[in-house]
Amino acid sequence: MSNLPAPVLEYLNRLAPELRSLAYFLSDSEGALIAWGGDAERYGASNLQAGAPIGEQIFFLEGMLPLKDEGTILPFLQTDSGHTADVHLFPTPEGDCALLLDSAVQQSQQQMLQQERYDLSLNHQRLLKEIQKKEILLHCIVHDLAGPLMGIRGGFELLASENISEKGRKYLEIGLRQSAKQDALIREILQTFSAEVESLETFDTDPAKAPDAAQSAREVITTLSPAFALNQIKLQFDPNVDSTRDWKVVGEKSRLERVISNLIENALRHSPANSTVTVGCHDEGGKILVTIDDEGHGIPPEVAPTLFQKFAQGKQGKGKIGLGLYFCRITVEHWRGEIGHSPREQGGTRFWFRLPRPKV
Amino acid sequence: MTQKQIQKKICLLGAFAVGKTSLVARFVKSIYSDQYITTVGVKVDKKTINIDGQEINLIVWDVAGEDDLQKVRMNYLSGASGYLLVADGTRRDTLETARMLRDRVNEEVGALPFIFLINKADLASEWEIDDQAVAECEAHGWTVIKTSAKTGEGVEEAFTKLAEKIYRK
Repeated sequence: MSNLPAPVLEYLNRLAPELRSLAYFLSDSEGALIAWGGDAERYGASNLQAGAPIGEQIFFLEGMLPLKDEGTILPFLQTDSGHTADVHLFPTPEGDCALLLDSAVQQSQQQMLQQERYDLSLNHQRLLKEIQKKEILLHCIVHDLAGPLMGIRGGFELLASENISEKGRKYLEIGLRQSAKQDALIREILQTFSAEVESLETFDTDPAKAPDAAQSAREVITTLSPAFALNQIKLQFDPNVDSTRDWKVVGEKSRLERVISNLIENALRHSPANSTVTVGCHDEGGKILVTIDDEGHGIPPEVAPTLFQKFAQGKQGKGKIGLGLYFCRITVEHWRGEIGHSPREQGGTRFWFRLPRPKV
Repeated sequence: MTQKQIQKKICLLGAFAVGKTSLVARFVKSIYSDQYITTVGVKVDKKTINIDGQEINLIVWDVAGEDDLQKVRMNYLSGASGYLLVADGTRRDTLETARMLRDRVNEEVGALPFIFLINKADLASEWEIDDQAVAECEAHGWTVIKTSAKTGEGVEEAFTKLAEKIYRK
């Protein structure tokens, strides 16, 4: 401002009180009012008395003067007169000054934007609650459907021990297979639902019970190896990972294993025969990155954006009902981690998730 | 001889849309509106109450709510004698915001008397803040009052209790 010529500064000096309804109040070191001027009445300050405490006369300055430090700005202060001002508090050689500059226009602009943002946010929260209510209802329905299914399976199993024809036994096997499939689907829906409900609850993990990501990965590999062998696909834990190190992450062991298991099963479904799936752990300081690398054909671009969403399935429909990766996402995010995938240079896809180390 | 009136500044703090402005309107003007109008900056109001025969002029600063993009300016609390910390019983995340605001007041302004209000008691069936969460707050020494700016439940009590805490301190 120092390079502005005097006439410009004078013009600005004349303009400010006009446009911003300026008012000022000066107080001494005891907080008594010593001088005032400008449009003080606009802000509800009338019948002022010099020498009396400023806070008792201009109530919105109660406790503010005398200044305890260098000074401050209180933007958008609305007095009970309904007027809004930016209040500048600063020391002067004569005393502490409260300078009021009308900010009604700026306030109304900001209010418009803020109102829209908050309305949208509240509507979004309401919508989420509604969805949750409906999902609970769906859960109850699915749960009720599971009950009779147990009876049907039991009936089939009893029937199998009876003396029935060869043709009848064939039909019976179809019935048993289909009811087992339906049972698996129901279990998958119910498990995902319980993870969802948990993800909506407050985050709480105990560092003492933190699982070791490398150990969990190895355990899952042991469990899934027979399925890979049947499909002539090699499943391995990256031999370059130092197993003696601490690979503890925030989370819960059985859920972590299910996340790893879902990602490895996903790799199995999309890997060609005679290829290799490699699981690895990478130290990123305060976080651990777990990777699952396959040598498949990669993820089609049209599928990629929705891969971690509920009921997402690839075009080939190789997935089950599209809840596995969704489960992984909500679980990892619940533990304040991240999950994603990226194409590998040598072909295939890397699925990864990153979890924080527990804070001791 | 006329008794000298005492004047005390108090602030209302909390997440956005928890009902701070409605609580002030109910306390100062005995009115309530269902329409949500967001506060920008701060609204200053006043009301005189009587504690133990002493008239206290409460200067009430209704401070704009905290959200992800906009933090509460702690300089609004300069000269305050206490504050009401407000959460919305139907939104559990507003309890976390209240806890965080209380920590920030302690760090940046210093420990002040406060009362924790869980507002929207009229919507009890939709509450996400359960008795266990309330008990946890109380276990930390917080005074918790369930309020409803809509029905007026607990509102007068909340402001009066805070004034008492300040006056009898």
